[in-house]
Amino acid sequence: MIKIQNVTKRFGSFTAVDDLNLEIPEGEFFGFLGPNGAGKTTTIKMITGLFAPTAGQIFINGFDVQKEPNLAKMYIGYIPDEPFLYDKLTGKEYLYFSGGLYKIDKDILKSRIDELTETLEIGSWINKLTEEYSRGMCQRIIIASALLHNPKVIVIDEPMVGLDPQSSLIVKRILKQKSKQGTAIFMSTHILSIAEELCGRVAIIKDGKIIFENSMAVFEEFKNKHDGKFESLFLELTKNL
Amino acid sequence: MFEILHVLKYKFIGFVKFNNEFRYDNFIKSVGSTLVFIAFAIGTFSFTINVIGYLIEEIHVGLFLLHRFLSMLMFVFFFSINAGNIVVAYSTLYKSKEVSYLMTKPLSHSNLFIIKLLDNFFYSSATFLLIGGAVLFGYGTYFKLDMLFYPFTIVFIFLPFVFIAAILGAIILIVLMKLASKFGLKFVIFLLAVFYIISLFTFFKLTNPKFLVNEVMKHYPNVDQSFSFLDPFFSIFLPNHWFTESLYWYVNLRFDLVLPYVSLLILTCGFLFICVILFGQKYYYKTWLISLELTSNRESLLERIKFFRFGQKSIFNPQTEVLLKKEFRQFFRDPSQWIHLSVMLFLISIFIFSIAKVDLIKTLPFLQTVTYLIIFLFNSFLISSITLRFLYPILSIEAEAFWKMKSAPLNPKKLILCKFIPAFLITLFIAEGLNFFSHLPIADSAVLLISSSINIVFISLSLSVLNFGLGIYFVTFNEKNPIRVASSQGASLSFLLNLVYLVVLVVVLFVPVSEHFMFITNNVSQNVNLFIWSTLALGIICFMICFGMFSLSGKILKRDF
Repeated sequence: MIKIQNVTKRFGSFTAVDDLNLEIPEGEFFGFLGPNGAGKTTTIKMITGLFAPTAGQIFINGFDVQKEPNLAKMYIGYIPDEPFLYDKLTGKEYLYFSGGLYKIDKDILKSRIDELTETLEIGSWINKLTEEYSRGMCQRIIIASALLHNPKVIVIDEPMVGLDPQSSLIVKRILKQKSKQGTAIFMSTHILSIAEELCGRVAIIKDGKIIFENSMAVFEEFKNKHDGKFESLFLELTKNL
Repeated sequence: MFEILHVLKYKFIGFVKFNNEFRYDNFIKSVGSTLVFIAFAIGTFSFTINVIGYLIEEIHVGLFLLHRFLSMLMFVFFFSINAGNIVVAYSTLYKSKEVSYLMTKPLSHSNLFIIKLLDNFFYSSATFLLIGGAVLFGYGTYFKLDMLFYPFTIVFIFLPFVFIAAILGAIILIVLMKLASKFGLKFVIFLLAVFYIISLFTFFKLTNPKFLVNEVMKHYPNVDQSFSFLDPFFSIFLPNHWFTESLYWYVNLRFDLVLPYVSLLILTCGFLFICVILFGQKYYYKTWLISLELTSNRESLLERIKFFRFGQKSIFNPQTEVLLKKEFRQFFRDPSQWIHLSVMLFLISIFIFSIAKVDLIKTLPFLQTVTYLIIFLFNSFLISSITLRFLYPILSIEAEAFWKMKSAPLNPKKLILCKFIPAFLITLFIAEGLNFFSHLPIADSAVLLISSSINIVFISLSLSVLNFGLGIYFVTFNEKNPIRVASSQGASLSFLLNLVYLVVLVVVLFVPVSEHFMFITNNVSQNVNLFIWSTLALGIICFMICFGMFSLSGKILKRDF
């Protein structure tokens, strides 16, 4: 579903992502881990079309993100780490706006909005201007907007930032459900316990290069060979040599 | 005092460091904005000398009438600074992120108020200071005044004058916020607009320029002496009167009569400054809290129109529909947008009203041509101002929320058109209205009206595309305040290109307009083809601007976000 082929991203002389290769099939919950500045957000921005790769190609459901961006983006639901919304729109208007961008039929959109408002427990906040929202509420609206068009790929950058425990639980439940339904999920996170709980496969990126990539079962084996803690293994793999 | 200086110090350091970071586009912006300011200052200086020379040497109005004309101008100038400060102060004092941040720090509200007041004053009045300085320089040069005149008038006359207008603006805003919590923001703004209209109307009605000119001219050629007995009773209370009386007596070398007016300006300024500080101490925090609540009262009459409701089905395709509805809602929910547009439309109405009595028919062809072109040029300048203010920031105000559109399956061309077309159509509607109503008194000619109506389409399109395109080229997603975006360095460069376009406009239109007035006055044969050629030239220029700017915009939107 997501195919990243020899992707490199340079900003001037700095290489943020270096010859990255990854493939995430449908239904897989993929965890993308790494320390700050490793290239996680840059990779995500290239997948979602916010950045153009310096070299290489990214395919979503067979469509090249650079050559056929509109077809590729049709299949993506993106949840960024910073929940920026339009201050002067209400939550509901924002969801109508998002749905319109994905050309969803108005009647279907209406029922999807009602459904997601209930699932994400947004309640009466849906009719208030987003400038009045807490960070967590903004995040819920963005998650709803990413799920409106039933995407085949969900790309999430730090999903639990700013969410209260109740919201985290809801988000985890939805993501697990989506993964079971065949949606490919590409999730970047700092919270190792979330990766451990949700992901079927993980990759660790450091200085723009993948330094570990395997299934969660193999990762567990590695972990047990150390002191049995995910954190220790992560720190061991990402420490400066 | 320490708190104020501490914050101002770091604001200054932030400003200097930001500008020292070398980037190619920043460099272009800096050069462009410097050129604009220099060109503007030189233009204003030269214009002032020529206008004073014309009034004194050609029309022989004398010193007294010259200063009364200046007084009327300064009255409008005072209102502009005052209204400008109210609009900008709303963003600076109540809506800026910096205020929200500093409110959480152990900084007294009154000190924060002073910091933001100074910030607002220099931000909204900087252009007025530049224009005023250039006018005073032109004035001093024409009358060959000594070097002391410049620092004296700037420090003791001009600055207090501008300060009075700005401080009054801040006081009015605080009162507005206080009243808005009881009566609603829109009702209070409506009341303020009515108050301004009545004040302007009353001033010109009571000042009665026609009566003043007739009375003074009865004493011709002794028209330099003071006829202050002709002044209406209320003028003694107005800062514009103190301002021009100071200048009048300075030119007459009567420093003993300059001092009372200068003292009045300084004392009033000082008194109002103390008042605004006390006002801020008592009401700033309270009104800031009110401003947070005001955001909830959003449903306006326009928003109740079904067509603009998101849930309502539309004839457009879903992407076009939501883009248009979003633009509309955001515009009418942001007070800094619709209030500023209302102020601009109000100024346009005053302009149309003020030229209603111009009678070009009885004057010489050359004077007719010059007057016509000045009015037409001013129309174009107003269109330029509107497009610079509203079309230049149209992408920047998306700010960080732009990620949604950038990551959506949306063609950049569609985004460009959905943002541009409605804004352009509204601009065109205003421009055509302005053109029509300003032509009624000045040109009793179908040829002139038809050709200008066609030309105004090309002019509106050229200026709209120019400002829209450069706004995309210099897009900054860090600043979502449209007023600040429209007065950034990139906007200054855009303004410079607008001025170049206006010069080209005069070159293209001069010959056909001049021939036309020759035809009307002297009954010589008229070559209508000249109008066709000039329209064609404007069309070609328009096409070139559109092609260049839309190509550029498309490329910029493909950049990394």
